[in-house]
Amino acid sequence: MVRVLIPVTLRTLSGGEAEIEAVGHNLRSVIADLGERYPELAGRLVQDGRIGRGLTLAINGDVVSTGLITKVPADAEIAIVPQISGG
Amino acid sequence: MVTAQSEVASQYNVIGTRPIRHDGVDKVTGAAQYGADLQLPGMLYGRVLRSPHAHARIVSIDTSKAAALEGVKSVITNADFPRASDDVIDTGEGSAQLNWLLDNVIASDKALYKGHAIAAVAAVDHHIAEDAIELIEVEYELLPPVLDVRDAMLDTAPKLHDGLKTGEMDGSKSDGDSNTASHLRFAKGDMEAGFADADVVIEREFVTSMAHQGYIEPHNGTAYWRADGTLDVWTSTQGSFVVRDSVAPLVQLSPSQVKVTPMEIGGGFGGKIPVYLEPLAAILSRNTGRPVQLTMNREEVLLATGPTSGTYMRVKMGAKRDGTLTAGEVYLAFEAGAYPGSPVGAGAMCALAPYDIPNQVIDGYDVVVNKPKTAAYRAPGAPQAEFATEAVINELAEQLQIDPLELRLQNAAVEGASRADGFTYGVIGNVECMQAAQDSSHWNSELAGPNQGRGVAQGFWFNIGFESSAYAQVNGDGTVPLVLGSTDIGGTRASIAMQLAETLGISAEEVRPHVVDTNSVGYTQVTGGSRTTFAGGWAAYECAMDIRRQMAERAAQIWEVDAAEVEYGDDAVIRGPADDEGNERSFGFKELAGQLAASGGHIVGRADVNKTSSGPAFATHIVDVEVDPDTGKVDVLRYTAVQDAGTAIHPAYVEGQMQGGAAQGIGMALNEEYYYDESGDLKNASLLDYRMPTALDLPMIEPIIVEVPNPGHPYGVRGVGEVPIIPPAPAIQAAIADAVGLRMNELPISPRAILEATLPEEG
Repeated sequence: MVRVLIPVTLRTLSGGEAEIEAVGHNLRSVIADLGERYPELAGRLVQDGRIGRGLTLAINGDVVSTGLITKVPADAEIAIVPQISGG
Repeated sequence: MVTAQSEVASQYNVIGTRPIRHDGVDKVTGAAQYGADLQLPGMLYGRVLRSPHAHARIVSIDTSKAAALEGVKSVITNADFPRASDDVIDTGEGSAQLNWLLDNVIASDKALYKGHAIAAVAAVDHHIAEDAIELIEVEYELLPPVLDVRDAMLDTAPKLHDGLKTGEMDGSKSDGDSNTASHLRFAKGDMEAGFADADVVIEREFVTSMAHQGYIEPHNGTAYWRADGTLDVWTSTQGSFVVRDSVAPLVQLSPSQVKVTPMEIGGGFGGKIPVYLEPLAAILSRNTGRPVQLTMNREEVLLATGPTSGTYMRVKMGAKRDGTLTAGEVYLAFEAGAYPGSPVGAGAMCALAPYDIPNQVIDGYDVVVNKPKTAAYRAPGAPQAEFATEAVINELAEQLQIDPLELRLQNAAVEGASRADGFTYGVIGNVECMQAAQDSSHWNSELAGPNQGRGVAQGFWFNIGFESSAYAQVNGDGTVPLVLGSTDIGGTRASIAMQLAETLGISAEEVRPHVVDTNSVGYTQVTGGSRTTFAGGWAAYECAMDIRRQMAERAAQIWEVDAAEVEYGDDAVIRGPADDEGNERSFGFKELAGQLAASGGHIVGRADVNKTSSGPAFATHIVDVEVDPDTGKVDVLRYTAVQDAGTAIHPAYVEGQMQGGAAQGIGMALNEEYYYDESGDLKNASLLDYRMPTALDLPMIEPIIVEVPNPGHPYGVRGVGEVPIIPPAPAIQAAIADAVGLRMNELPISPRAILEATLPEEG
């Protein structure tokens, strides 16, 4: 089971849940599974077929750089953070 | 200083040694080609007209007189550019929204800071171009400027952008227009319980000034829009592919139609990631059919290129009497300059990162003001945020009467600790840095006189990985040209070449690294985020492994044996099975290299990597200062910088990064500030008045390299370039407090600031 950690500013979309369990072999399928229970959250995480604007996902502490096709290990922890600006 | 081979390096032949950098001779003989050295046949010279006002609506621009001047070939304004979309592009150490990027390159309806580009000219020489911009007539409607982040956040503040709302992470927006472009929050635990558990709670406010990266080489850009519709760009940049991907959409070309050649770079520190002149040169070249070169002067660099954010910050922290930190609450408001995109997100991620604090809330606000758009600057956002949090940690140590390093060790984040942003640490060297500082001769020495004090601070930067590419061929004489896409700011030709050499088992000198244009190497992210030796080195490692495999296969072919029976040893000897007469068979690397052409052709290795496990960096700095009570001047007497490099590939360049980062941090702490008057006029736009430290201002910065190898890299590399800029300001602030009892919570801690704090008001 994959654990998706929901940052405090996205908990309005997760019914207040701080952590959601989901299944899937890659980010797309994990978010699709999560979207069956939390459609608004999934709609924020995936926009126009990509990771949602202004967001970055990290799997087990590694920032995702290959988009929604990135493989997710079975017991992974997924963090959602703002896309870091600075330039 | 580490001069003997370290324990980690002792397992390697090349890694951990200090060869002369491959580009050294060209640099010291003046043969190296920088952007402004470029001369092309028929080249025109450009100049930019800049706004004299910090905030003004552009009513009209009349370029007719300038265009009529003899020798002027083109005059352009924002209207000459295609409309840009609001798509966001990745710039490596940040991101950029295209329409804001274009508006910053050349203003559309409003001038948003003094120095904002309004129009550009191309002429047959510099003098005519200079004369021409004087002939451009601009009518402005002056608007009140907003210069301070706290003022800008008020509902009543004049708004810089119509339609800009405050965006939240969940996608919601504020109802009304705002100068606060976005808000983010990281949180964990229970704040109420955390502060209830505390015996001591300290809450402080902090202010920092905008500060510039201070690279010595000004920005430049040359473009040639060829008759076939392709565009060549030569520029001083930290990322040739980012320039390509920024310029192409702004001039409505496909990235495949744009080739960017990175010239040698005279410093960047994050500030040479955004484009400023390149799109202007492109359109001027399109209009004239000739190459066009633009260069900035120093005033333009300071007025119009990205400094790091000025900030307002609040930190509240609680601790038990025994020193256990129970709660940390951090509020960060960062100036983004004229367009959204301050480094507040990174600052928020770093603010409390060195410590395992169970209850945390970190709020960040990205706020536009009438100052130049900020750019990345060495660990963007972290020096400010960690100045505030480290200062409170030091004050807690004083109140609790606990040694400040002991307090840090007691609460240090270790493997398995999680940050408020959701990341969990793997193997890190946080504790090892603190312990090395404790063991240092500096920490165990005595101060020598009155008005002297000692301070210490910790720093964290997450480092990044991402895409890098490397190609290498094997010459007949056994040398290996290595093709890279990473601009070399701090010795990365050497540090990447050394990893290729280590893997092949040859010397660093036998590898010849070359930094090439975007058509000649695979996609490579910016030289930034402390990623280049990490990801570039990984690409070089994979490239070398590709060569090893091919060399073994070639030997097998020559010996007429199965490739599985041939092994490429770490000593660069390729060994096969004994021949029919029982004789051992082997090739040395050079020996086989000499036979490649006649045995099937040459060998090229290649690798493209996209790595995400970058290996966080920690640093501990110790500083002694002496404060002159009469003048307020602070002298840095002794400075020690401890840092975990993972594995120090080229220790001299690691030390150089540690020393350079510390020097910049000392400048930020004591002198460097953007000084604006009420109208938004920058009053110190020269390096005489914008006071960076020189060698005369600093003692020898003593580096202590700690090596906790990063298990997420073939050679254990962690990035080293950015974290050393973080601890200087809070360490110096603590040292001043130790010396004269003043806790200065505003940067820079200039002589004026100290005198204002110490002298009676009438003085």
